[in-house]
Amino acid sequence: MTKESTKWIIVFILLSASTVLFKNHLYVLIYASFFAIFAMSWSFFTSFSGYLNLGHVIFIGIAGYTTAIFNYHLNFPMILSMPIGVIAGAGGGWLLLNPLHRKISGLSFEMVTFLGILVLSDLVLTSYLRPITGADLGISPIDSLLSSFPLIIGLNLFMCISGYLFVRFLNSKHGKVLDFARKNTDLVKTAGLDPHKYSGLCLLYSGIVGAIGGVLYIHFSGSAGVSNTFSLSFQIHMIVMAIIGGRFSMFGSIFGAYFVILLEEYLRGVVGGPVENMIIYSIGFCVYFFSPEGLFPKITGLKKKLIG
Amino acid sequence: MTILEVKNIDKLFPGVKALKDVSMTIEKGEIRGLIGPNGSGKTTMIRTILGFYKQDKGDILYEGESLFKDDIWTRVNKGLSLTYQTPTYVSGLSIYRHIELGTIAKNIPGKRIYEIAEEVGLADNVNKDPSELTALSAKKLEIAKALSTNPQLLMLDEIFAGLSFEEGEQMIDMLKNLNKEKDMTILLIDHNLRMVKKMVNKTTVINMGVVIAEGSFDEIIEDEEVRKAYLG
Repeated sequence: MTKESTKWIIVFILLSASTVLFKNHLYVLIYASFFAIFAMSWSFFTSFSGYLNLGHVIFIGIAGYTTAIFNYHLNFPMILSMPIGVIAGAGGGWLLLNPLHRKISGLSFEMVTFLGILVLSDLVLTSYLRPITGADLGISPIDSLLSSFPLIIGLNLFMCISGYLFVRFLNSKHGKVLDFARKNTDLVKTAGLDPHKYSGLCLLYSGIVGAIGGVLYIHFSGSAGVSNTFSLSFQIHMIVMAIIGGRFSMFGSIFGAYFVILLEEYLRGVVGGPVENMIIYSIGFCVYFFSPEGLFPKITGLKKKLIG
Repeated sequence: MTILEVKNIDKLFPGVKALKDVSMTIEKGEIRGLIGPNGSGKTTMIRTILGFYKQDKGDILYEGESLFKDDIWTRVNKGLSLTYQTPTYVSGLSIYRHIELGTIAKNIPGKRIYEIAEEVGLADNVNKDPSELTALSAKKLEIAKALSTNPQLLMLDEIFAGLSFEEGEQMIDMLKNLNKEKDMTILLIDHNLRMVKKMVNKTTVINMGVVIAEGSFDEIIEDEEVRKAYLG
């Protein structure tokens, strides 16, 4: 067993143990795990390919709406509609974003992905698509995944396996190429390698994990609407989580998601809506300004200093 | 046997015609010099050959096949390679990693990385960061990176720039050795005519995007138009 796999097993055990310890807050922990999957999959592509993807929710949204449409309109059982959603979400999202990232980079890619989610969020709200998407009402009710121990254990297992595979990818020759491509694309090209092939693969893996998380999230929510698929605030939320935790580490994204969801839960009872968001975003602002590498590397660095 | 044939190429940038109807033929195993004053189009020429720029007219043939539709990486995998005028590397990634990058596309075994480091004289530095290297070693890293792709035609952009006379001599020995032992064709672009003279079989002179002379070094240096281009 490698050091890396041992780390992920420990994370899985700790997260599973927390569900037993805080069984009265299972619903919150499930949310945290969903967002950890989203933040980690967003961060995997954005942090390691060098493309700031503001449209990661495209994977989640297409996957979510597809499973909801098949489940609600065509009466497919969840067990069938979910894989269809994953294929549509990962494949469709990749077909949209992969050509974009081959053609444009930097600010252009950021703006196009940002505008892409605005287009899709308005598209599902149009009256033309109302019979299919339910417009502002969304698609509801659909078959639901209940808040339960098996669900959170399954989610955490999926999260840890995905995280482990992400790290394996980054440590492979693909990851080595990405390391160079992120900093100097020409070096990669003159080494006889197509940098977009590697970043495209990274985008696909990020999309598959996002899409799987997306179909599960939609069925956990019991409905598919803009707010839990293509919304900008949904996208910003996962970015803030990754930033707070530390976007250059998979553990950082998980830590960030748990930190934000648990803090939100606490703040909800104390201050409520807008102030709650203001506090979370302010923390994100401060972390990015004073410690751009995020809190998780800071904490592990401190632990190393103390323990030696 | 002809390895590279540049046929009547033009390259235009906004407001500037950088290359005008340029033609050049390089034979396999040759060491060719490409010289000319600053801004004459030498770097544009090799960057067009490798595919950084697409020519607006004409064609470039490598081993008889047009490169027009090929991306940079495809050209590199066919056997072309280049070194950068300014040593180009990523700080924080070791010299080993830089050489390894070029071996990935062709699945060249890992032991070759150490062989290349040995060939260029960087064997003791493979774990170092490139930013720690001296000017000569940084140039050697450029050669090592190029060698890692297993090239047949190596294009060297100002490889002697920033090197002392002794360092230049060392570099010449290494390059001549590569040419002889690996039958590697070399296209050398440089301002240092003394070094160019010591290396090349044949020289092409370019000025304001136009080839003005071609022949042995001694011939072209006596050419009236070449003298005018250099001395005004």
